[in-house]
Amino acid sequence: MYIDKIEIGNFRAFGNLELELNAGLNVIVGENNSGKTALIDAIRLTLDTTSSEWTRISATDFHGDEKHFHIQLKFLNITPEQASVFVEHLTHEDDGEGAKQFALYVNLKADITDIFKRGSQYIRTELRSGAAAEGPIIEREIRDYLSATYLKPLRDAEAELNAGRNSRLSQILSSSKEFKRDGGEFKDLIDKFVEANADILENDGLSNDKAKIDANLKNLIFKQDSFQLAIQMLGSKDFAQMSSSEKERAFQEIIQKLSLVLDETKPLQGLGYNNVLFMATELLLLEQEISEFPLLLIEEPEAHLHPQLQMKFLRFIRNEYSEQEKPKLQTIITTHSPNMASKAPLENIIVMKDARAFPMQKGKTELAPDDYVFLEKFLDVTKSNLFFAKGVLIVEGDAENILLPTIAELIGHPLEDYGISIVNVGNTAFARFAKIFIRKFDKEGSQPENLLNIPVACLRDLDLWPAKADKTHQSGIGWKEKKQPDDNGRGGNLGYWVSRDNFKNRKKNLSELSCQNVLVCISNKWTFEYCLIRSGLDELIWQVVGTGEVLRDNKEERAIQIYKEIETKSGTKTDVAYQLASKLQDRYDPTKKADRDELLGKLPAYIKDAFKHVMGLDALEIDGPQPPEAEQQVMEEAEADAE
Amino acid sequence: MLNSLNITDAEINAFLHDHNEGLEEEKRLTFCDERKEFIKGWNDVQACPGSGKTTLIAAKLLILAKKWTSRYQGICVLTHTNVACDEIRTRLESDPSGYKLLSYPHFIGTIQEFVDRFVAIPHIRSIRFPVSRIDDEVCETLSRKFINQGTMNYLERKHASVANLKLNRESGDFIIPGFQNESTSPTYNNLKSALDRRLCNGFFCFSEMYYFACEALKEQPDLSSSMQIRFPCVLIDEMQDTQKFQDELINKLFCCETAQIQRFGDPDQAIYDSMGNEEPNETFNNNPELETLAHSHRFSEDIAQKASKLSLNQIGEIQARGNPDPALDHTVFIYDDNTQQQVLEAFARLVLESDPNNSWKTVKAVGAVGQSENHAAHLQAYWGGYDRKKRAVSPKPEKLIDAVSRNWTDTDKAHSEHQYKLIVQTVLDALRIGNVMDERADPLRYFNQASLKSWLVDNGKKSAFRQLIADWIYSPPETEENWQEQIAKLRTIFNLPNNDEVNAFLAFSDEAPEPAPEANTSSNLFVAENDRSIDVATIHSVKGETHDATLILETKFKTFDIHQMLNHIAGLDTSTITKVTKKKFARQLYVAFSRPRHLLCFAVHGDHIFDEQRVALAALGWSIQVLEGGNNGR
Repeated sequence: MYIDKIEIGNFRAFGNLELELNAGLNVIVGENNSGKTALIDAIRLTLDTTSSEWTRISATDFHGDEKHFHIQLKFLNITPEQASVFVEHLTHEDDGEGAKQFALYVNLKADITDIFKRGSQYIRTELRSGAAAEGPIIEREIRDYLSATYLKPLRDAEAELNAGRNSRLSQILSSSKEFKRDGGEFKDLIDKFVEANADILENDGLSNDKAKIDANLKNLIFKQDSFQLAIQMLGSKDFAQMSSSEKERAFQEIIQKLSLVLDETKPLQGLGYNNVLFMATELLLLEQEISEFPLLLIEEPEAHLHPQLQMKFLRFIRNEYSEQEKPKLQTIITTHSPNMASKAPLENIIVMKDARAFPMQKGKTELAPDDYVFLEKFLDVTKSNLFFAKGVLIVEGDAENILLPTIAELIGHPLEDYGISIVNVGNTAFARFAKIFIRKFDKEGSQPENLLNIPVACLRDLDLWPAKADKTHQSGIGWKEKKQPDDNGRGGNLGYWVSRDNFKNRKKNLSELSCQNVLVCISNKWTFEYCLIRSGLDELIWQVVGTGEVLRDNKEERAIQIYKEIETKSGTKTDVAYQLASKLQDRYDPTKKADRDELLGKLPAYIKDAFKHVMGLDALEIDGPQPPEAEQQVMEEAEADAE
Repeated sequence: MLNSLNITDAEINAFLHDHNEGLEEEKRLTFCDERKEFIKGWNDVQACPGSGKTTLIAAKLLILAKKWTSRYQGICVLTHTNVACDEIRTRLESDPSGYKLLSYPHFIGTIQEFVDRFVAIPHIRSIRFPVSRIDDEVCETLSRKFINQGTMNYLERKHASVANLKLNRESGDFIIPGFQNESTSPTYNNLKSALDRRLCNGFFCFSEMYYFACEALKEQPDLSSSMQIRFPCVLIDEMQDTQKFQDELINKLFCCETAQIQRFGDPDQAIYDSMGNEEPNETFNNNPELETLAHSHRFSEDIAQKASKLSLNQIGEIQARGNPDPALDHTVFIYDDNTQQQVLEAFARLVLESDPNNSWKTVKAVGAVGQSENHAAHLQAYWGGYDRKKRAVSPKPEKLIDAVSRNWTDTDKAHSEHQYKLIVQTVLDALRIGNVMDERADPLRYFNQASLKSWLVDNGKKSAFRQLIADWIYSPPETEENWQEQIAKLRTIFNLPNNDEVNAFLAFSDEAPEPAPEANTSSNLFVAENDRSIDVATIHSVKGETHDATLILETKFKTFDIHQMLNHIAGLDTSTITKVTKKKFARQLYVAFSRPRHLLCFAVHGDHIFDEQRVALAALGWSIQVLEGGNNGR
């Protein structure tokens, strides 16, 4: 049994939310304030939790000025044993394969009234079953049965595990199956304690002190009064003489004296390990409930855990409880940690954005099944931060990865200010990464509010060689070899060279990925570096890679001369990028408008387009004077070259 | 789990010990070995009248409740009538562990309630119909509203009844009264759409719920496994009145290795048998191997022996409590056409003689037929004051003011919650009469409690409505002026139309509302010249009751009942009864004859009793009293 679907109306940030959950693991990721905690709280309020945290609906839980909210949880995969508990509440639904299945709907409705009670507005709540909340009121016992295990973030694990009245440890031990009230362990524990208590009474120190207190007492009270003074831990009754409530009281007293420490030789441990210890203890209780309805809610388990421990934790949950085929229990985890996100299978991730939820399940995104296999492997920690970004730049090389943040900073728009992540995917995987952000819709669904509102820009190289790069070209600066096709029209590399058709086709092919909030930005010429050279950074780059060679006056020929130094020397691309980055930083001061404008004027248009898209801006500070590379001009040049 | 279903002698004794603590000697409860076996076991039980069946069931439930540990599994107790169910509930309520049985995870209620709640309603919910009300009478009233005058005339001509406009219990097909086959006539379509509208509004007949229940079980085979896990034990009371289709459904739900079922009843008292042309159950009523609980606490040897002459199963003599009181004359009153109306007086005199201290509380005169226009053998012929309509145990308000007036609610549960519900229900009736619908629904629907509540909230009228109801509950209207003011408020809240029907329903009435009838008693009270009062009632209405004295009046249904059975009563005929009508008479009279603790009498017309029978009756210990014209004495 698991929660198949959750529907929320007018609860906190959610105006209207519909979310299908996985039967096993659900990792909810997203930036702050995106609704992660509200989602967990919606479930907690509806089902209640076994932990001592208590939850109460308050006026701030209502969305905006709404007077009413509702939360509906739909459970599926209910066994006859589970169904027996709430058989009068069931709905019989088609299972999609012609048969009927049990479904349970739990609806929490809350109305805020104008009645004031103890200084706050009275909130009326109602818990009913039925797909339209038209079923009977759900009994307290059933709600207990459905209650979830909840691990809150940033708990004071040490305090929870220490001895004390109502300590969490004592609650857990009290409900442990090891201590059945008619079982041997229960009796044994009390017996041992009664024994120890008897021994204590014989301690001379205690009995002497007791005698002195007794003497004092006798002087303070009336003759008729008679008391049996005792210094003890527990009553002196034997197990056999105790009534069942006395036994229970004795048992509670004993377990409230217990503390859990990780290592008895080093009783004081750091917060991190105490947290792990706490979670391990909570899971004890959870595992007892496997046959009932085990639901595990964990908020930000990364608190206090260093990255490797975070990854280990998620692997544990994944392996122990969430086997894809037949998960033992349903887990819902919220996290801010790319480490955690990277360890979760992509289809178990749910991205929250602006109080809407975007599950990454197969069929919900444009990703094909083999994309999931690929991404499972390559979506590592560094790339996983894309789930938390407000905008994503997907680039194909180190040069962009190194230079774009510098450039953005120098034009006065640092990427950090916009919450933008750069993902460097190498040459091939653009589509796979971009499609994470593209939702799949049936015919009607594609309204703007169903889109995942994270702008993604893919920066692509045109990758067509100018005619003058041909080593046989009369200009004499080229080094590329032009190969004609054989007599059958096969082979050759004519497709790599600038021509009207090649240009058009390449642009068309690359931009096919543009869709929803994904925009493909394609350079108008050859590569990223080549474009930087052509658009005005030639001198600066020549300072980095320059040789004794004399540069031509013709802009194109000069660019090819410079770019040759970058491309033909192996391993230099990354070096050049680093060096250029520091040259840029030396040359341009982002606090000076003139510098910002100048650099902006030297940026290729497609980079500015990408920045504007991911930053959500209509214009960068100025759009700068357009460098002479309008598409028309490129085409003309290409034609001229081809002749 | 099953462990807690095994009851030991020690537990029974502990229960008796607790129960008897502080009770006077004669009020203490004991169980013979036979009864202890029934408490421990799960075999079906035929319990003769007065055998203390309800006490036994309650004891068993209390013992089980005390050791019940499961939070999610429960005990299911099913009865046929609300009366029997209330009786069991009352016994459990006062005990702390018994009290737990009244709520989740347990169930105590009628078979109908059980089927509705656990099987049929979830199914109806699943096919996206609302469930507003399950009640044959309300359904009929509603159907009438959807039917035009032409159709009504047609039905009248065909002697067909709107009450039959419903779903077939087995097939779910529409039953269109007055038509054998499908038709394209406007009348047929009018009836069909009326049924359709009733269902879409969430109004269902009792029998229709069994159709939906069977559908649910067909579509969802796991349902019965779930039910068996939820209720590992099921106790069924009044099993003899369970109809065949109900029995079959219960068996489908619970018959398995793990669920324990114990059924209690008395086939000899199966008087609901042929109600509504439904067949009686076979697994219980026709089971020759029922274990019997023949020992009666109710009556002494002399009555036991007289009543058991009518036992169809011939379960043998009912074993009686104690010795007969020789001072009591169990009497046969023989009347003629002129003296029929003197029978009750004669009986009253005998009662006064037998009980001079006036210590008997329940004295009743019963007959099978209340009123009839075709012949003179019915209750009203014995006493002109008898009125069938007064018989209703839980009367329905005929006007809104009837619901508001306080006395209605004193009937059973005298708290305002009960009255609140009754008033809301009656307001819903008023809305239906006024055709006021929930405009938020598409298509329009009549209100039910839930939609009424949310409509009031949505329209900001909730507090006005609540205020009105609070006024009614805490200070019922005393003057017409007062009432009209309140009705004006009600009309504004709901915008009720101003037509004759609505106005009649909302009219003021200062007639004293019917006096609060005591639960389970009729208000047909005959007061004799000697001031003894006698309740006159039908046999059906006294089922399960214990009287101090009972007079059975001969009535006629096709033939005269006592006349037909007289040879059996007189012990002249001991053969097995096979004829259907005679079987029915035998069961009815058996129920009637087995009511009294002290005095048993019957009345028969002189034309229907022969000398041979008089002699035989006298030999069995009956006194014969002939009522002759003008002579009131012996």
